[in-house]
Amino acid sequence: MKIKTNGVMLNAEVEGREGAPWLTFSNSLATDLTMWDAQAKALAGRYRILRYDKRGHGKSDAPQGPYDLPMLVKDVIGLWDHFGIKRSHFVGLSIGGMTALGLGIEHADRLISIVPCDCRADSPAEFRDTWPPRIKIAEGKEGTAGLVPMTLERWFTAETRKAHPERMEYMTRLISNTTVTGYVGCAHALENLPYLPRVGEIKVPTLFVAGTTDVMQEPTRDLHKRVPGSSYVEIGPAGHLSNLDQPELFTAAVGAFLDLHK
Amino acid sequence: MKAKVNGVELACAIEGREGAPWLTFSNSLATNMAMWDDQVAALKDEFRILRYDKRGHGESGGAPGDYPIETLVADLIALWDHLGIRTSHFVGLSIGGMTGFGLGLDHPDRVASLTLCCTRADSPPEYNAAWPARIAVAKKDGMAPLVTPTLERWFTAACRARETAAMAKMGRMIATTSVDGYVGCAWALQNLPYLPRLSAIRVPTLMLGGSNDILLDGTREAHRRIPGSLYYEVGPAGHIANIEQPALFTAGLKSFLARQR
Repeated sequence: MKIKTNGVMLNAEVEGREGAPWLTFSNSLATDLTMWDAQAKALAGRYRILRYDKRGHGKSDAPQGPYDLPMLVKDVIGLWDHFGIKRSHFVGLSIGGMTALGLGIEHADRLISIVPCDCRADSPAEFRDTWPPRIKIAEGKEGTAGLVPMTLERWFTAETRKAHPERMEYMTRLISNTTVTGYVGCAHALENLPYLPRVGEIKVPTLFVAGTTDVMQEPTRDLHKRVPGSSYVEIGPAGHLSNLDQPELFTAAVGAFLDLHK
Repeated sequence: MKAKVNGVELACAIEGREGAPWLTFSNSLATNMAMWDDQVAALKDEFRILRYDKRGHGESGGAPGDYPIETLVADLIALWDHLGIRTSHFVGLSIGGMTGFGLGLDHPDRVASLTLCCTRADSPPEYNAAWPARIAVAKKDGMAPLVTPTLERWFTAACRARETAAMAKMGRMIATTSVDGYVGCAWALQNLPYLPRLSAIRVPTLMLGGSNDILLDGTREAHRRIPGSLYYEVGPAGHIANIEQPALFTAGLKSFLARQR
């Protein structure tokens, strides 16, 4: 369904057991809410699940950027207000995980717990500098389809790319279907991640999840060390989209953590 | 119950669903089968579970002397033979995990899967350096003086402060381990032979680590070397990750075992 909130039309889906605690999933850059299919299916018996396509992604509208993390955080609050959700668990991967950090810092009263996965909270030069070339490709004649080969190489190991052609086809479709405006808007948010100095303020129950071979594995582990009382799970072999590479281990860990914080 | 096998009397316990696939748990140094209480409770409806006290530990016997890791492997094979267990899933932590490497390499036909936790497959000098002092203390004054430093090595400070009942239970396990068993197994730890052969393991394997464990690198290294193995790390957790993070640990273990059916 489409929800108009925070000046944008967002695509959202609600499923799972009515009356159960809310659990919200937030997608990564150049994907959409279908990336959580396995987790939503496994957890629908125990949770009321809200999934949405981040602005500029999937079936959501793509207003002109640049976007920033506080804006993406506000989109979630707008959705929760629309559905009358007072408190929710929040699971997000990559830019979705960064959104989780913003929620944890600014909106603890709306959260039961957060699960930031494969993410980071700052944009040092070596990370920031990776974005302008990608933005240039997206804005070129191929659009986001031009990003497919380099993105698959960054997200999945060579073994995974070879062993799982169906997953590569699916990801190719997701990346190509992402609007240029949405990709570039979110890329600008990634160039300016603001939360590292404040992650120590997070007080809600937090589980960090990382894939063994993800480029964000070290930053994610570092965040775990900075957030007092947080838990950490690493799964492998898994790249950036750890929930797609190891769906069973990912879902088991996240489910066990959520169940501890009902 | 007690079983006389491979020249030693081993204490063991069988529980869980009759007729279900076998699942065997193997304890770490200076602990006993009670370390697996939480995991057994969570898995007993789906598996027939065998726990045993490693030689020189818990209620098992154990003569003075060096215990090569191969002896510990032979103990379990003999116990499986005695109980008529043809194949079993296997979960071991630390020296229990090292025993699992030996099972996977030398008895793959007996192993349905391996979950090897907080462990390593070799004994480099910097790892071995710590043992002589501990062995000297145990021989001179028994296990009691080793309780506090061992708990400090095994658990994060936050866990020790929070989980006082679990710490008391673990402390009792350390204190009641026989000096002969501790010293005998410490020899095995200083002479681990399996690293060069890990890539020959062909049974389904999950390497399971604790984020703060001193053996984390060894656990991760084994994952890299064992073809097709999976990796699961929980934190914060020191050496005895199943006690420090029972819910996350059991979830990963259960998920891995479920996909072997």
